[in-house]
Amino acid sequence: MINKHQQMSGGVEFLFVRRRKRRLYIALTILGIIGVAFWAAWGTGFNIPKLISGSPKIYNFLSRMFPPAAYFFPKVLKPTIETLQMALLGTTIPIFFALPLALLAAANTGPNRLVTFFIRILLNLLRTVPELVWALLLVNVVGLGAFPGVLALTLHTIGGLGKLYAEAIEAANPGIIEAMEAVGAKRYKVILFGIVPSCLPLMISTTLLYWEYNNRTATILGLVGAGGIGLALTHAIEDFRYHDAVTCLVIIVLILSIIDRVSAKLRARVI
Amino acid sequence: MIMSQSHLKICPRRLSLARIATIAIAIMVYWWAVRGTEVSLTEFIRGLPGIWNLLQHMFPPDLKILKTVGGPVIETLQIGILSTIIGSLIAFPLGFLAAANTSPHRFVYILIRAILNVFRGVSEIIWGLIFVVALGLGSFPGVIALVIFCVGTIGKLLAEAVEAVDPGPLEAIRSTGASNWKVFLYGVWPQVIPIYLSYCLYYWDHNTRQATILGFVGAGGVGYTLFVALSMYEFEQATSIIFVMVILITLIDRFCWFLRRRII
Repeated sequence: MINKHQQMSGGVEFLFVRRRKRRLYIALTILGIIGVAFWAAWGTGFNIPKLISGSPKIYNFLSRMFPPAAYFFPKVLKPTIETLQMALLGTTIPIFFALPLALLAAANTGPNRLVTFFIRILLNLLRTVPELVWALLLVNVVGLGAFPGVLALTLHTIGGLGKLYAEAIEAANPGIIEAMEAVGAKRYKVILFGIVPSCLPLMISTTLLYWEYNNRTATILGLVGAGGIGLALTHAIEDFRYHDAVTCLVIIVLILSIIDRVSAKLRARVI
Repeated sequence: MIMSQSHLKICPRRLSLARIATIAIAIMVYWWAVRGTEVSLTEFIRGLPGIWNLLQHMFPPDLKILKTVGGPVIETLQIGILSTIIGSLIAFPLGFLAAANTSPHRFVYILIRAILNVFRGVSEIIWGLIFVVALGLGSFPGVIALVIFCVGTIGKLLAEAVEAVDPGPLEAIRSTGASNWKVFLYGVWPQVIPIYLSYCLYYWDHNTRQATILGFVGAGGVGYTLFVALSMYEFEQATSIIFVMVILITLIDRFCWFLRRRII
């Protein structure tokens, strides 16, 4: 009887010890995060007094920005359309490159491990270099305008879509492949009529996500001279035409939220 | 007869009028987009020698710049960390206020949603541009720009997570006579926290990526070094800096992936 009681209390104590350990662990993590935050604040010169002393400046700046200039709307129409066109091309051109690359990069469709490995490195490189860096480099080569912007989006999107497509292909149901191989289908037929259709909804959905994302990026490519509404915005800010700048911002917020909605609707229909 | 009909339904390969119209519209939109952006294969081919030339200038990378790039890289990391911490802390209460099931009032819900939409409607780098003009160069406006965007996105995602909370456990807790506060603490909180933490980690990764390019508008970090190198046509230096960026982004990406797997 006593023995059993002891055992039970031991069990409860064990639970307490575990709980205490868990709490200690969480406390240490929080302390660590606070420490890192202070280190980062010190390094970036971020502090509350500076924020408070800077807030009149922000307020002043914002008050100079409003109201938006209505006359600027028609002038910004062309760059806005250009932005949408850049995003459209920058999302659809990469599909033709990303799909074959993904087939080479996926473990279940790639020809051999060496090819898979190198294609993956290529895709990672394309994806990790930010679009703005691609745009800046390409502006140096092909000159200012929307063309380098489309190229920059294309390069980055090939990397991003290629990786996501490859993941979708690897997640394809192996039963389909086996069934098609069992009836004697050739390798390319298995891929074309078995694997690709089965992961098509996922691929369309990721492509739509990238379209959404590329619209967002297309609005900033103008900052380095690669066309679109970002260029109009940068010029407006450089020339201290703050009312015009706000007009651009309003248009950016509007088109991005509309595209958000459209993309979400389409994605809901696909999957 | 019946078989062939059902076969037709399964394989909609017939060219119906709607199909032709869709294809025609798609081609027209493409043509319009290609014309508008002046994309052309000939221009691209004409640009190829330029690309080759650029690559020749870029290689071999100038490794001497790596000595001076350490400071900006650390600054980039710090911008990413600080903006994520501040942003996620601000986004936390806003997320609950912007969720239909935990918001105290419909008016609060609409207001907070609108604020979050505006915060997230403009890209980080445009916020950076604005705050650099308002506050001057440096990493301080960069941090603020990232915080604003990050509050908008984490806030919205958190609100969606809160709205998707499984109501079963909440009802069970409420049926024991627990107060609203306790329902929140023992019902909502445990369901939402892992999702929230995983969003925070995701945005840490995202913010570090953005911090590498914020320098283009003068908002600190390694992007500024790259921008200076490229505007002085020092392409060998630019290559090294881009490599450093890629390594930094990859490391953070892997680290976040590792942490996320442990949380969820």
